[in-house]
Amino acid sequence: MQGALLEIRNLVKEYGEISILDIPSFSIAKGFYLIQGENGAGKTTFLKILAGILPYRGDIILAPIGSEKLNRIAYRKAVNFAEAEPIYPDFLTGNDLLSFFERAKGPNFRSRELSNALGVPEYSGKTLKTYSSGMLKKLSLVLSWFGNPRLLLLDESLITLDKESIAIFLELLIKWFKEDEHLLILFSTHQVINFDESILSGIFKVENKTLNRI
Amino acid sequence: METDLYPIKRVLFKVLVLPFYLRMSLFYFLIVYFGFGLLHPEQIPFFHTSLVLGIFQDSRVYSIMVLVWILYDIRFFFYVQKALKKPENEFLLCLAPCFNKNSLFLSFLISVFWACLPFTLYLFFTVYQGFTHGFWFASGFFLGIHFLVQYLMAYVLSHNYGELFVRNNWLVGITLWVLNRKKSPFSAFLYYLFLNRKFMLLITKIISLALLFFSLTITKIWVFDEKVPVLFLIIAMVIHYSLVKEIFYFDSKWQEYLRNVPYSLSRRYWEMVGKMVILFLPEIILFLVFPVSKLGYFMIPECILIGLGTLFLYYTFSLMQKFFMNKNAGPVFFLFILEFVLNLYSLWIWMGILAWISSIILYFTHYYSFEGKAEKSEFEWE
Repeated sequence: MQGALLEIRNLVKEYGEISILDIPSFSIAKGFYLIQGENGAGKTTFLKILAGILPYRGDIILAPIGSEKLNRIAYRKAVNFAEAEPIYPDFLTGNDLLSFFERAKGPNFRSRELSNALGVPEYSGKTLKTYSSGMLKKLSLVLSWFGNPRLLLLDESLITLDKESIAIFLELLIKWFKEDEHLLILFSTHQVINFDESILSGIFKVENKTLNRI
Repeated sequence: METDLYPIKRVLFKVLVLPFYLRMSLFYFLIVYFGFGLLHPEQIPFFHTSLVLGIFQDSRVYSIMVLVWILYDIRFFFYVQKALKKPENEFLLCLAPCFNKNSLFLSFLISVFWACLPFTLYLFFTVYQGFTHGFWFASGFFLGIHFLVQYLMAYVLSHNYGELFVRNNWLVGITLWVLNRKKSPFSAFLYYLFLNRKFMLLITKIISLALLFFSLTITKIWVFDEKVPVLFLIIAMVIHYSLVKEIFYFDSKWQEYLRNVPYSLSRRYWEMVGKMVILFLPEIILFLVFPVSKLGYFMIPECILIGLGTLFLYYTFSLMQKFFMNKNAGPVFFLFILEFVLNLYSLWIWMGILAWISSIILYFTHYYSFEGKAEKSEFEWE
């Protein structure tokens, strides 16, 4: 594909003898894509592989950085991931994580803006074991905006959020996507969201161990 | 003022060091209790000075103590490996490459230093005593090897974040191959016991053996008091408390399965005996090689009878937790009572035989009680 931002070559993921994903080739340009699929189809596994968390066979190439395996540091700095059900160590506080991510990825005004909009500073001084799942989710979304991401992986980012927070997050997400010329967003969700056609670049479905464009 | 290092250092401390201390708290408690709590305050400095000098005066004990220190250091390394594989720490593995290598190395080095601090402090005391008594080379080597291991651990962790061992590693490959092999019912428990908790129980075993070897070699009290070897065996069983508890846990699950297997009752009992004998075989050999053989071979059956008898008795008491033996305080209480009776009346062989017979009776009673409950349960379902 011309101007492909993300390219996958012969990606295979197996758990023991069970094959989860087998994607011979896949490439997409900058844009906002929805990732759909049934429970257990491999959406989260796919996103975790892209985030560099899970090992795999094959290669992932992100322009202009190159191969994930050859340029791991630059790749991980350019890829941000917000988990569906984020879990972090109980002993840490929200501020510990915020400063850790900021040092690792670099500062970004968007994180601060999203943090203030979602009300994260009100509880970020407390230890994470006191957080509700919604509070943890908000923190995870804030963390996913640190640095200068070229690939943003959002796994079920709206679950456990209240209506008000969903509206705030989607508004900022769309605004920042429009502002950023080099951002690729892969948004996995089961919820029905009516994204504007000018925003949505395409929908992919994870089925039969591979990715199919709908 | 926060430096670049501060957030990494703080997160590593809270994610790796703090949980490590919590996990090892019982171990520290026992070490402090046995090392300081049992002695009169005035005797503590003299005791530890003698202990340290004893280490330096015998090359075998010295080697074992160096090994114990290294094993403790490496224990933290294994802990970090395990911790990094936990889902809540995925962010650490994912973000670690984004940090400057030097900052990461320094942060890991500080974490390793904090985790090894209790042993480092005692090492400082050891080295100080060694230097003041002229053991220059041995003291320097001890200190050097300790910090070298810490340095290497920090280096490997900061450069591979444990991935060297977590991913695509031959060590992991071999371990998985061993674990995935078909196991006989008897050997399954050995795999479970030593490999289940990331070699922690294996390390405990090595440390306890080292301590036992040290006690027998340095103090040589057994030359004056023949009861001492047996008391050492009892102490070894207390040290092995967690191992015996693991066998108990394993067996309680195993027996549920064995009910469907046509094994006779006596075979089940002797299987349990076999497990215990294998578990304590190194200790038994140690006793035979050191004090018992030197005191006279007439001591051998007595030692085995009393040691194993006590062990089986404790084990069967553990199976029957409704007795006065409760989960944690029970075994220690029981062993101290036994020790007291042994010392008071010198009823060596009779106590051993009694313990053995009691264990058989209690085991069978427990078994029938278990079967009775199962039958009752089936009846209620009908």
